[in-house]
Amino acid sequence: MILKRRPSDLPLSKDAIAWFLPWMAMLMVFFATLTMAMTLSINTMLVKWTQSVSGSITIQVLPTEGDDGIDKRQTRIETEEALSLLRNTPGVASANLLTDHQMQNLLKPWLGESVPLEDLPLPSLIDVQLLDGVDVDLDNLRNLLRQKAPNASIDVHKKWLGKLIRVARKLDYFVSALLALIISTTSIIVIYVSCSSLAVHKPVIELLHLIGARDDYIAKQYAIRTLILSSVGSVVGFIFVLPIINFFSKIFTDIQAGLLAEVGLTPFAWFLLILIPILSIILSTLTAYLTVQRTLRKLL
Amino acid sequence: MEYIIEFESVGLRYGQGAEVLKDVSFGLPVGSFHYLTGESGAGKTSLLSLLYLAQPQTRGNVRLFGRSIQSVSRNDLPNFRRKIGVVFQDFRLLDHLSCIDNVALPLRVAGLDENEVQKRVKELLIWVGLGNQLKSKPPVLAGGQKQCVAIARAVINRPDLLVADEPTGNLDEKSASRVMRLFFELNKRGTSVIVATHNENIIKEFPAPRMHLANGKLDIFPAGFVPERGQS
Repeated sequence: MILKRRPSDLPLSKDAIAWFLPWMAMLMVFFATLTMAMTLSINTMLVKWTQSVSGSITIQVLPTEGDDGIDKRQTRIETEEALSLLRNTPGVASANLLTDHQMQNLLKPWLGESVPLEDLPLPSLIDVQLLDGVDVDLDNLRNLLRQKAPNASIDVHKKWLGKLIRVARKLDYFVSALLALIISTTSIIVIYVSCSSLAVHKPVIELLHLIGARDDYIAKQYAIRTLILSSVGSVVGFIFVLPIINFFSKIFTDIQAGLLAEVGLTPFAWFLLILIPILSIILSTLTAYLTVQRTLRKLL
Repeated sequence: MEYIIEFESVGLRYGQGAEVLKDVSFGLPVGSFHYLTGESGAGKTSLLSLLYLAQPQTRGNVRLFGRSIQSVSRNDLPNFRRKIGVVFQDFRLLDHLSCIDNVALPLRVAGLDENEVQKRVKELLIWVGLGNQLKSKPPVLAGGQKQCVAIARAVINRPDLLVADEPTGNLDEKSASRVMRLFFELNKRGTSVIVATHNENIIKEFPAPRMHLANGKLDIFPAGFVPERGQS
């Protein structure tokens, strides 16, 4: 059976202003999705960073300056001393010196593929994993290190991570405000388009009322029209934003390569992003329906 | 006697202007047929607009179907209006809809099954002589054809009250007689009918009591009585 949609009783397809709706929906979905994707990426990155650095510290042993330049032997001795001290410190689960290969990976984004590490005055890095729930006395450890390896220093990740998290939280508030602005703008535009259309079609609406149409009957026709137009715009806006997200994702990945954790959107984040066009369509349709209902209530 | 319409000292004015209807009082029994006559500007269309609930009266009381329209809530209005078929003087057809869709409007707003809608509308359009114009839109129809569509839309729902404002104004004699026979047929089946007209030939051919408006006042005369010009 061929299903044929009967024409709307109101000549809504001839509304010049109604064609504004898909463009509006497209732009709103585009910007909302992009904003949301950025926020979710940053949050995902922070969560991964937090997971990877909480319970760990890094010990950096700076190269020792000798009479003929860098004293590699002294640096190696200090590194061995530091490793020995760390492995015997209560609360330390493991302490491992980063291999040349790991160092090369870390420096790859900045210095390229083939880095002659032996020619560079690089510090030795020791990755220290702490036992869960055990507080290590960092001040005492710092004092002991100073005695055994004077060029060693402790990098506690929590300090700078805390700052990053604070910045991310502020970014969350900013994004929430931006989304609220996008939602209210969408609603205002739909209200404006609906009210304009009601004014244009007043004679037809009066006729429908005289024939016995309820406000609901008329409001449904506006809602269906808005549903179709906002669906087209929202889907197109979402499709357009996907390559942009992919582009930014690649940039992020390049920037963070070798750092602590990979940036990327989780399946849950994608689920949230897919919800944006759906919510946009629901919001527009519902706004149109309620606006028409409320406006018609003022007529006889 | 049961009345379908009762007016008690009804007055109507637009804005701050003079009263168009002054102290109009009458009662029309259920199942009656009346003409509404009067010179142009006498207030016929205004009176009819009160009957099909397009606007409220300025004063007095209007009772429809035994109920004062002042007591009808906004939610009940559509149910009242669905009992009234209206043929507008200017047709008020929707230009973007076909003849079928125009005539189907009252059935669709009443929520009738679409198959039933199609069947009834096609039957009626064929009966009024528009069987070959089912899909045509009003802009391509002649004046008389438009009037037939407007009449079909008014009667498709088998209303309890039919209000027609100059329904034969654009029709030739043969078509006008055909439409009047349709109205009388509906009247025989229980629909109360009020036809506003200037056409004395139609009134002679299909005699019925007439309500005559002059200077905002209304009088009811028996069938066959022709009021003198300006008489009230």
